[in-house]
This record gives sequence, C-alpha cells and structure tokens, in this order.
Amino acid sequence: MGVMRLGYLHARVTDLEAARRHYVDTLGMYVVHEDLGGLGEPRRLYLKAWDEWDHHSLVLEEGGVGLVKMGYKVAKETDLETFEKRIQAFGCTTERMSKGDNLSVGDGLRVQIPSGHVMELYNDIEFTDTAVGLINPELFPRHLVGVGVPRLDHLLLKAEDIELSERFFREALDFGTSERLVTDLSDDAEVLGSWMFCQHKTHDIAWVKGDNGRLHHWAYKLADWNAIRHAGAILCMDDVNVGFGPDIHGLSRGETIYFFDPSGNRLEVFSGGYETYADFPTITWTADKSLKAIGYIGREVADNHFTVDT
Amino acid sequence: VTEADHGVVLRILPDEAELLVRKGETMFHALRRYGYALRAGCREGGCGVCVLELVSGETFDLLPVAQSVLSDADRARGLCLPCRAVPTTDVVVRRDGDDRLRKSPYSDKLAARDLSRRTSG
Repeated sequence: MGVMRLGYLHARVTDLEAARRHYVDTLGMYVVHEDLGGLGEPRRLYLKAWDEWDHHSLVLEEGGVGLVKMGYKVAKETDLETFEKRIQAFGCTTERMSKGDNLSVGDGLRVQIPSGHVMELYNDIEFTDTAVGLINPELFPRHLVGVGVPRLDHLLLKAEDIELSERFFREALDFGTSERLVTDLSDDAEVLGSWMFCQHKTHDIAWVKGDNGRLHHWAYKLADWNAIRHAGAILCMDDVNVGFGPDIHGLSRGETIYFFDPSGNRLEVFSGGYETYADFPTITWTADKSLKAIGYIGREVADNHFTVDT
Repeated sequence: VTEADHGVVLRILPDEAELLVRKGETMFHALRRYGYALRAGCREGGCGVCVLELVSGETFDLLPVAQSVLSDADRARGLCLPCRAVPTTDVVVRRDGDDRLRKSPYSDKLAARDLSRRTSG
C-alpha cells in the first residue's frame, strides 16, 4: 500500500516543435503519442524515457509555460479509496477521474493540494516495457540520443505554507521528510524548504518558499557523476541554457546540473543521493548554510536559481 | 562585405554601449557574441527576469512568449524580453537600475570593430 513514485507530469510549452527538439534530440526521450489538438484542445506530445515501463512520463501541451498537473502512482487500486478518505479527512476536496481522462491511464483521484498544484493519484496505466526489455536486458539501449535520461525522478514546487504541504503529504499520503531548510535553529524558526520521500528515494517531491502553484524544476535521475558530465557536454553542444551546476548538493548529496527547456521550464539532471526509509531521521539545514546546501563545491548560486520559476 | 554589414545597431542605456545585431538574432545572442551580459533568468522567454525597456525601434519574438510572462499590456508599455526579441531596425533599450552591463575584456573592442566596419562600408 502507498504512493510509489512520481509517474507523470503535464507541462506547458510555448512552442511544441522547439520542445520536441529539446526532449527528444537533447534529452533522448521517446515520443509515444501525439494529439493534434483542435476543438479547444491544445496540441499534446506524450513522451517517456528509456528505462520507464509505463506508457508515458511527460505530457507537453502547447500554450503557456509551467506545470499543469502531476501524477503519483499508487501501489494498489484499493489505495485510491483509502487515500480519498484520508485526503478528505485532511480537508482537501477530491474528485474521481475516469479511465480515459488521461490517455492510457485508468480510474484515479484528482486533488488540489494545499500548495495549489493539481495532483492525480492512479494505479492503472498501460504497461509498454522499457527500451531494453525484461528478458536478459542490455545495460542501456544501443542507440541512445543526447543525454539519454533513464527516468523521471522528482519535482520541486513552490508553496506559501511549507509546513501545511508537509503535513498534508505526511498525514494523508504517508510521505516522510528527508531534509528541511530552516531560517535557524530557534523555536520560532521559519521553514524555507522541505524534501519528502514516499518509498526509498532521497526525495519524490519537495517545496521551497514561494507563490503557490509555481514550479521550480523537475528532475531526471542519471547513473552517476560521469553521466552528469556527459549531460553537461550535450547541453553545451545543443546550446541549452544552464542555470546552475555542475555541482554537488550538500542537501541530498546529489550531483546536479540545472538547465532550461526552450519555454523556460527548469529541469535538472540528478545523480547520487542516498536511500531513505520510513524511520529516516530528518536532516536540517540552516539558511546561513543554504549556498553549501545547494552547491557544496562552489558555494555560490546565481540569483535566478531562487527567483525564476514557471 | 561581412555578415555584420547586414545587422542593426543595439544601443544599451544608460551605459551607451553599442553593438551589432545580426539578422534574425536575439538581443541576448548578440550580447553573448561580444561577451556582454545583462541580468537573465531562463533565457527562454519563460520567466521575464531579463525584461528591458524598449526605448525605440522594432522587434519581433523569435519564439512565442506566454501572456503570463509578457502581456500585450506590457508590450504596449514598451517592455521587451531580450532573450526572445529580434530587432528588425536599430533599437535602443534601457536596463533597470539594479541591473549591470557585464563585459569581457574584449567586449568593447570587438563591438567597436564591427560597428566601424559597418559604417565604413
């Protein structure tokens, strides 16, 4: 029982063809379906990464910029009922979504979480296998393109009330908090950021202080530091705008580069980190060490890492 | 005849810096060729952090910009995003007082060289 992972996200892009070049040619994702739009519906592109087995992990729709919604996959169909009750008990309204509301996704639950973002919970989605298959698989697909991102990993959202978001994910969805960023260690310290996990990742969702409904970034998990180096080279070859990195996060111990898609949505390639468990003791960072928390080596971060969101 | 001959002049106030923008090139792209930099965010039209006052001249956007980032009203007030805006005439822009025009040791020299080549024909 429980939430397993960030399964998909829907994002807006201003130009679908520029986005296609970025996600396919630079990041190496595969297009699995395309909606041509019309009749009030935007054009949409459905993509997945090579080591993902479900139908898609990213839906891009043309018009605007930023996050439309995110989908977290739960372990069992019956979890939906359980979470529905717990979410309502917390005080959020839920709505049932039916099979076909999202291409290839079955019945599920839609909720506007306290930070104003739309979250969907689902269990049923078409299985379409990874690019290497399940029988005696090779280590990676022979003809990976660009960065060749294997899997979607996590996202970082902005929230006005971080403690409320934390409480919602802890009480209604059984997430744990791996790390927190606070103003200081006093009793009346303010929480500036929170990183939470649902299974064993370093984090599956995170918040930093900001306007409700905004997106800071979403991340793809790469194999190791060397894969980050390779990704950085590809980003340069394709003239992608890099926001921050390469560096190591003190917070999460992850290796990182942040960059922007052609609509200005911030993405991250991430590797490393550590495993978490239900009894993982929360790590605390104080604001005076925030630069080390973000960039452990350089300890200098451009303003736009804090100010820019979509 | 060099490629620069086909460009237009971008003038940045209050620094009075001048450089050539090639045909079809965004202001940011031109700035970067010379090693100049102004305040920037995503550089992809998504955040609006780089917004400048377009004092004079005409531009078009290389790729669409969301209304939520730069609205028609913003444009009517004479604002533009240098990461997206491609000048079609000579343009003058004004940076905001909190911003700073950063440059490499060669920026002014390279910009002046291209400008003099253009004017001397």
